[in-house]
Amino acid sequence: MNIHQSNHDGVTVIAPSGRIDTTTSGAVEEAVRRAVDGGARDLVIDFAGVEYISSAGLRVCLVLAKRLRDLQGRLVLCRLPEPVRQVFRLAGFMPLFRIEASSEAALAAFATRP
Amino acid sequence: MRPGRHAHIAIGGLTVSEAADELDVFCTAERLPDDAAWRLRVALDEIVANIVAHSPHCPAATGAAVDVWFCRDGAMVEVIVADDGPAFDPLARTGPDVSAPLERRQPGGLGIALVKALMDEVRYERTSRNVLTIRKRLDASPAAGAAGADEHSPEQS
Repeated sequence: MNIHQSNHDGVTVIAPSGRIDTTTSGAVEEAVRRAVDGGARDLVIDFAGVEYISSAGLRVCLVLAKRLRDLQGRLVLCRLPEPVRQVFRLAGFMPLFRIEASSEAALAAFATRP
Repeated sequence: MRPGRHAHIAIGGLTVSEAADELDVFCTAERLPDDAAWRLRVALDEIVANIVAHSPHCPAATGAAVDVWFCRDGAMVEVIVADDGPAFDPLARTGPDVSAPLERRQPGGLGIALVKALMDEVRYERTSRNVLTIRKRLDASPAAGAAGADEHSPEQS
């Protein structure tokens, strides 16, 4: 599990790669927690390098979405590979998140900051 | 189904990753298509994580273990997971409401719901142990089942 983090005009992009499962989800959770603790409020999770996600990873997304909502932050997910997309669909997660096809679209979603 | 690869894994902090490693060896040896492989990986992760979480022996190692058998018969792959915990049928549990809004979403129960959705067959038996059997048919076209939905999702929270 590798987790790449970058900043684009105030938007924090977290890009994990590999499998997000019981064994690795703790590292992803730690990365997003550190980002939010450090003040990040606009977050993108880029799934392009993710092989698949299990419910342990879904839980991390759920906890992050709730926390950011409480902090008036915003979360956008992007570039979901088919296995990740299917698990999101099966779990009924698609309507809970803003999901974009490209990283450009994900970053553009923050341009309309009120 | 003919007997296949067997792994005996002690219950503890590494049970889930060791089971995943065993599955990887099996997937590689059988050259399973990517679609079947990731589904099996997610399913096994959920099942073994569930056993470890409910194990009264955890985290202290007291000899408790899970046994996993990986078998393939033509286009059918079967994985059997047995543990010595108290009788517990994970399939009997009602799944979570997957249409609830964010504030009412709870992650509990999602794992087993995923196992049911990702596999073609899931069966629980109580012998002297808990025995969970999952089966996945290897489709001729690996893309089967993938919905042709537009990549761009308009749904927002």
